[in-house]
Amino acid sequence: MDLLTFARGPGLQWAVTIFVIGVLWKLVGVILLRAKPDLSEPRNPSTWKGLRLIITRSWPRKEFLRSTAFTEVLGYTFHIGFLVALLFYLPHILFFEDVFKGVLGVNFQQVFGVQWPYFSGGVINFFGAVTVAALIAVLIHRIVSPVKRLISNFDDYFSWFVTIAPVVTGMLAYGHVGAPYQTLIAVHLLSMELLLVWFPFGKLMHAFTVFLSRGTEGMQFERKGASL
Amino acid sequence: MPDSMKPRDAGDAHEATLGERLAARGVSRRAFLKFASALASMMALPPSMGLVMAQAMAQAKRPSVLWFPFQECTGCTESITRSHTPTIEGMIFDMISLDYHETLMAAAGHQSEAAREQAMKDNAGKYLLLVDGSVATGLDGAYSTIGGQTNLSWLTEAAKGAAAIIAVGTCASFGGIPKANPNPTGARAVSDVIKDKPIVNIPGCPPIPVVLTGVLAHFLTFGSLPELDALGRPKAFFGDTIHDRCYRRPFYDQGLFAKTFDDEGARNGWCLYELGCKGPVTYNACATVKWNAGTSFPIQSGHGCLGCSEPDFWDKGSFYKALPVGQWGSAATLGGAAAVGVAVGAAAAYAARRRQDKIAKGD
Amino acid sequence: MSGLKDIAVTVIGASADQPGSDPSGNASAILHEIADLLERLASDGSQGMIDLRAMPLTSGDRAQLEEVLAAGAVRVAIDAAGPTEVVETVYPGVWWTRHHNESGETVAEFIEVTVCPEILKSHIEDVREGGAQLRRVLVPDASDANESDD
Repeated sequence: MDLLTFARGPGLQWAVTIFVIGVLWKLVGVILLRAKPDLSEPRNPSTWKGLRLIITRSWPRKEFLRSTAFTEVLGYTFHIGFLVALLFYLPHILFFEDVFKGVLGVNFQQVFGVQWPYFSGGVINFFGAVTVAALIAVLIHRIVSPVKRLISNFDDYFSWFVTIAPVVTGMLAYGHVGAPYQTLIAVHLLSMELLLVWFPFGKLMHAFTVFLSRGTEGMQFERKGASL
Repeated sequence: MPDSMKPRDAGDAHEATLGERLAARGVSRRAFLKFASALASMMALPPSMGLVMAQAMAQAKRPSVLWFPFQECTGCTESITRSHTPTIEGMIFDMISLDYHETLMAAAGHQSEAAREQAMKDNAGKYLLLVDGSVATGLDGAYSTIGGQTNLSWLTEAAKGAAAIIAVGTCASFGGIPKANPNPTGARAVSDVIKDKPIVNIPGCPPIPVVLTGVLAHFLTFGSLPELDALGRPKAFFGDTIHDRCYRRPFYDQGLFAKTFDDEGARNGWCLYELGCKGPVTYNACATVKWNAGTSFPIQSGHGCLGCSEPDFWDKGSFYKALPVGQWGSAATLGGAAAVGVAVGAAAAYAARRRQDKIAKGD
Repeated sequence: MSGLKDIAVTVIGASADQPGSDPSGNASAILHEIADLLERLASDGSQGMIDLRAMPLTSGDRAQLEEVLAAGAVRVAIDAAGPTEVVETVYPGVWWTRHHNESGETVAEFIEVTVCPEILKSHIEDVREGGAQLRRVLVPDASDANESDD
């Protein structure tokens, strides 16, 4: 079995399976934990209003604007760049639509009535380049900044690596740089599979848990009457 | 020299050079120079090599060539003989002394086998062995025999005296369709059986005729085989993917795709990627050399590339499914994975609660 | 056959109609290389050759080449394994050679920078054989004998 056949077949199937198991394990495991009973009198009757923290935490408070601007801007840049490259590149879309149809039994287009929009390869390549640049910048910042370096561990660096790897390999495959296309696309798929396997067990899981934790925290704060 | 394949005018051709032989057949040196120039151009050699090739080949003795058919459909022979009359690569049959080819030779039965054995004896160590079809290795090769002998024994015996082996077509190169799952005959590529001889793979179902001509011309000119890629294919013809050299590539780059075989995009000749074209992962020269005297190739005719020149192309999923599609598993597998995930998560949470209770009780 | 016209098919296959008719810059590169080769031919007699099929040319590139390298004084038609056309361009020493096979398809296309393209010259072996043949024709008996041998 050559590398591409493995990457497209068993490699992909195992990665997806581990991803699904891992994500649900972690999510269900956290959700079913017993919440510590809060015996105090709630300051606010409608604690659910604290859920707005899910949204409002998406940008920094005025007081922190200056000190966090660099991280915020670059963070948004690579998150958006990554998602655009992931969700609006035709070969990726064909994959997602195939999974969609396989799981739900209907075509994406039949359900939503529109075709999944996509950009041409050149545009995606641009977003990829921006993503890579931003990711390198935040890595340098993480290493240079004493505080960030202190609070960083293997998880941070490895999660960074599995994030940038599919983008870089995808761009190499698009540009046919350095190796035969089949090898490049196989390496791209394997890097994506590494991302999927690592995802639930490292800090990348924040993609799911960030909203859970913000919501929980918001409700606790609201109940305590803290200013959000 | 066996008489079975001898052309009428080959009375003294045994010692004649290729140039003299062609002249005797009415092919002028001028025509031959043109042939060599065209070949050099197709093989991406420097244009001045055309003259060098013409001079070297004109002085060369025609090599003895044995063509063995194993588990094959004769499509490869069809491809190469159909190119004969109108095109320049038809000169291939003037370049070689084809001493054994079941389909083309007049002799049959024991006569033809005698011709084969004679040619192997006379040209020991010098003949070129061409093979089309895969080698059946199951039951010691008994699945495919000629004159009571297995293909396997033919190949191992003839390989000993061969200067080089050329695997013609995907079956000989990679096992091809006979090797497709479940491979009942234990079909193998020539290179799986023979390890100690130079082997050139010319895959394709069928292969492009001019590639064989190019390999032979290179052998006659330089006395060696052309540069090969990791899969043993001549780089001059298998250096780029179909996708790289496809005239529809600009549509791929612009994101213009046919969604069905009869929609607006298909009529406009847009990229067939979504319809399962395997061009991006297929190395061959169809997009540049084309077929039927340069008329067209599958993509130009509106059908995606099947990837027929790649190993195991028959087992790589549907021809009509786009490359990123159809390999992620099944809904059942994902459902099972989800169930396992939820169960493990619940168990973990339960274990955590038990532990909390224990601590609360003060155990 | 007329029914075919009713089917709304746009053929974008023929090379002339290929997308990208704008000059890519390859034609200019070729023209500069020709200028260099011409200088070398003039100074030390060294010949040069450019394979036009070795690089992608858009229809715009071709138009540019054909405009600059317009036909000059010499135009030769060769009939050897299909027609070959050799044209000296308006720049002496720059020859445009187009090889076609018997079905008219272009099999090779070169720009040659030389005082005389190789394909125009009579090959000495052919000359020798031709001479011998002429001798046979001039001696009636030998010619007859030759015929009867066949």
